[in-house]
Amino acid sequence: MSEHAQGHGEHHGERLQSHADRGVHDIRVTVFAPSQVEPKRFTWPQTLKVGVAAAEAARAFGLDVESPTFQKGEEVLDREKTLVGAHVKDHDELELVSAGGGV
Amino acid sequence: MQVSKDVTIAVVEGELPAAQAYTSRHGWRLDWQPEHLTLFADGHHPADKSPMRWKGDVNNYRALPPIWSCFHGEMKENELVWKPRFPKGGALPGGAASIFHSSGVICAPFNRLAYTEHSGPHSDWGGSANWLNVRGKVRATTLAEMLAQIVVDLTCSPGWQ
Repeated sequence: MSEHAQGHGEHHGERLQSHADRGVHDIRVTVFAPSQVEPKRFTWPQTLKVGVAAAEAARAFGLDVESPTFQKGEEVLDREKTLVGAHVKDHDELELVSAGGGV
Repeated sequence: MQVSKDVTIAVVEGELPAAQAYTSRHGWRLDWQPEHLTLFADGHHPADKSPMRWKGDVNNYRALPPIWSCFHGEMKENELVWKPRFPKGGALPGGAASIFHSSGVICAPFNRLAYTEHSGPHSDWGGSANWLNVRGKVRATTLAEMLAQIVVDLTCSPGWQ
């Protein structure tokens, strides 16, 4: 489960409480998409898989991305890892990219 | 299939702000030369930090994908000289194959040189005019997305061929 951080104040607060009760903390990140100038901000549970979060970001940007994932700095994140497992931290900036491969 | 030069320039310049934003976030510099319909992206190979240049020939874009070629920069007599050279491929996290083919071309639908009619290996993608419809491979349909895919695959490249 995830959502835009923008415009979901009350529901967002309830969900944070719920996750916090279960010991699952949320991560707030800024996501850039290469084809668009303006980023979007997201809040996701830290246990969400990278590939699921990236797919949601792609939908929010209205993009058709093959095997979406994130790039953080010079590292391309493994889609199968959780956000926390991929060392995504609160306030990180991520780039929405494809791990679709060539050849 | 011909696209007039004016149309191609307008299309490219419509895509440039996003491409410039992306490349500046990742330490690359763009140089658009509309008179030659050529886009250069200068940066470094992350494996050895040596200078790298990508050249995108965008004639007939977007009816056809760009023609991408790669150059390695070397200092000669205090001058940076660019010579054709291509990065090695390295698998992406999750095991997907690199777009950097051992034959020295980007093997992805967004490179005209990947198609058989342009001496590339692919006869199975419906021809270069079908580039926007190829599925099941990396999908990059704007210049910014193409440059991002090149940068992504470079993060997994062990060096130069």
